[in-house]
Amino acid sequence: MPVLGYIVSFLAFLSALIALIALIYGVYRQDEKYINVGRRSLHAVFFLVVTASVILTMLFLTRDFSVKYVANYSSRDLPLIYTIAAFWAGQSGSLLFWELMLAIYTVVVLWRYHENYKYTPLVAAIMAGVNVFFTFVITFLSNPFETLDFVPADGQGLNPLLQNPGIWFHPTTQYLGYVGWTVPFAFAMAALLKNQADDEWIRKTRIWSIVTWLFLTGGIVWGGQWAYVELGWGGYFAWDPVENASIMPWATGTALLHSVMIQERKNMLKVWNVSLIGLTFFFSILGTFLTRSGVLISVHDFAEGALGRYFIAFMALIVIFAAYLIIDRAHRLRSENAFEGLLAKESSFLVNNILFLGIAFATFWGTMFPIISEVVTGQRPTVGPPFFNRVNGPIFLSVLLLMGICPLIAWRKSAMSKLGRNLFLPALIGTVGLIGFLLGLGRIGVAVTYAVVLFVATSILYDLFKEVRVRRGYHPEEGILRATWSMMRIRSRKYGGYIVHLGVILMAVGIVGSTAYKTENTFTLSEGQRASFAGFELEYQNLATEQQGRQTIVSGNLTVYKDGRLFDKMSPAKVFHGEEQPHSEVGIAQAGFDDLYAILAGFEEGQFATFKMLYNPLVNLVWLGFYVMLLGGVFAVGGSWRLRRAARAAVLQPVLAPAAAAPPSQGEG
Amino acid sequence: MKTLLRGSLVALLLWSLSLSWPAPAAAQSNALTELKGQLICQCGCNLVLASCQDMMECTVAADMVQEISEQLAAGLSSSEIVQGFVARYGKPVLAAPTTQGFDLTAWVTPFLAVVVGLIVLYFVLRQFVEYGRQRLADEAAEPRLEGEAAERFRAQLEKDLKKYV
Repeated sequence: MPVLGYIVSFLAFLSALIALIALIYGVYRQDEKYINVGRRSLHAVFFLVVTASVILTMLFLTRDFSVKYVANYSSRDLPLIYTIAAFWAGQSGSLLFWELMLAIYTVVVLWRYHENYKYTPLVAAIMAGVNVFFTFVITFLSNPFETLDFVPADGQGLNPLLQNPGIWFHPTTQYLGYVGWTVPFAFAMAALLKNQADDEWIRKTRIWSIVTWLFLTGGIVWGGQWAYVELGWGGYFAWDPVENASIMPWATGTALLHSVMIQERKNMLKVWNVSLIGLTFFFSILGTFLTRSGVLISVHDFAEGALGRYFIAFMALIVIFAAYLIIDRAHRLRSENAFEGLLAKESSFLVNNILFLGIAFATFWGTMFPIISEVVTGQRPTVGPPFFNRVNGPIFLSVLLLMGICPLIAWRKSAMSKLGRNLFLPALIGTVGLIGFLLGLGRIGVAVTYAVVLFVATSILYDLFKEVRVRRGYHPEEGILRATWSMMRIRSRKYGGYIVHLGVILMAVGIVGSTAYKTENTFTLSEGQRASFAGFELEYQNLATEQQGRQTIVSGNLTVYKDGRLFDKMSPAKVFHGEEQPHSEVGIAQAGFDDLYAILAGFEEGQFATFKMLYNPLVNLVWLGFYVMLLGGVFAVGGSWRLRRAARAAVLQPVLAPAAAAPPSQGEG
Repeated sequence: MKTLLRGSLVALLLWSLSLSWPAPAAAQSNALTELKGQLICQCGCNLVLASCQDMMECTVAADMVQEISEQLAAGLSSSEIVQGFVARYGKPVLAAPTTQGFDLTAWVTPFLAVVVGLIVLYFVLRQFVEYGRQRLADEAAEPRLEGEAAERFRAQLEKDLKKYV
């Protein structure tokens, strides 16, 4: 079977290459015959990559340890759920997983735009190019089907840190978030190649971009949640190079989601938007490169072998290709950039763009600085959390502030006096909050952040209130709730965005609270002994030992009391794997938005156990904030879908369904 | 409405004043916390001492923290302690670049990039506004709808607003 895997991956590479050549030739000669060859070859790539993935999964399920990758990442006692997930636990498998996602996206694009988009062959050619690179990598550089000279009796097993449900959520969504940017990139480059200067590529890929952004956000947050419950990764976000790698495309992608609205509304910023998608795609490949090349020291060390130079060559190709096209077509992309006033929503979106690019650049700069410094000075300094917090912190805070100002500025032009009137209430509430937080909490950074959060929340609700009031003027028969829902449905994209913003501020509250007010203490307790910590009483009950396969799990059972009543039970544990260093499983008792977090640091059976206790205030708001963001994203995508369907119905049946036709600007804020 | 607003503001003030988390630690503990966030554990994890200690049960981190505690108790200042660690392990023990020499560029460049970006944006926006003014002037020169035609458009606008707002 491994040989079949080899053959299939080689055939996938060959098919991708044929697709690329046939599509380029077909488009150049405008010959449908070659274009069809290219299309079919891309379908073949999909079929072959799916087959390779099924083969790899089968190799894991049949415990075929003659395959190096299977032997390295699984063992006979590995539970089924992790045996399947071991597919993407290492380098070769995760690159095959990358290619699998790309192959799926490619055929979806082919099916979705087979007839209704004239540049689909060019889009397919660009996606075929990316397919060629990744099938080349999995076939010749990092093949998961490589066999060993001998067959070990058992595999090395999966790293215990990876044996967490997070392995099903984080890598999958992270990769969907990286790979997904290929689609808007391919559409943008196809539009450039065809000298097409309108916003069709944006409209075609709007939902792709939002969904990809949501996947990437999910990947980052679920990764943080996983790192939070596993010791060894430095908490939910440690500004590690691999974590930073995901922030860069996220930041430029966020900038893109905002700036495309200006092109859609005013047909402006064409060069800017294609540059942003080029940069976002570049960063998504850079993210994969940083994770897989081993060029930087990371706690998430997944790198093996020398993939680096191939990735560098591919990234250089992307930069040259995109930069050449943008520069060469710049004169056609030049639009009549006309603003009616400096103080307008459009301007605030552009300031937002600069700030998000600033975040991407600061993260890139900080991540690469050790290498740059080594080249210049011969010394390799560490660039860790203090740097990123101090540099990115103020920029993120500026973004938050802007999120509060932007809803109160009108499109096209805003008078300063009107903006002042609109700002009055949110600013007043923010200021009162600032005074209260300064006096109550006493920490300037926290007080300012929380005051800005109040300002943003008030500003969003105030804007909604004003629009609902206008709607009720036209529809007095509607109650407040009905009018609010109608308004949100009509402007689903705008209010989807607002819900995302509310999620962001919840996250900000959680991040600042859990960072600034975290407390910790260590207790050594004998059985039945109690200790007080962060307003809780902890009682150590006993030690429990359990055998699970090759693992011996020793748990320290703690009972937690609050105000004299039983609150929760926690069982932090140490897991022993034969001769290897034991790893810890933490115990968490959720107290509203806060967490009581326990680590079993040591024990002496029948005598005492040592617990390291942490109290993480508001940390659950980080996760809650993400789910609110997800809800907002889904709301916006749902609205876009509904409007697109309505618009299509209106085009097809102008007489039968005139009411379904909504103007294109509806729902776009 | 004004009473409601006033009441809400007072409630907000009282609520924000009442917020408190576990009491701030003693001065020495604050210095210790700061230093644990400034120095990298030398076990090879590449994490700051605080993270390594929280997350790794690392003996190297525990020894380093113990040493810092003892030095603080002996009256050494934070900068003296940091200098001692740098002398022993070199500059990579610091979790962030210094603010001297080439290291300074690490701190300055991102802010410089944002500031330059904002300045460039300001001038670009001014240019956009200038184009906009010219276009408005051109449009103003065009004949305007009046009378019945204008009334018809106004009626249509009202109808659309009723439908879509």
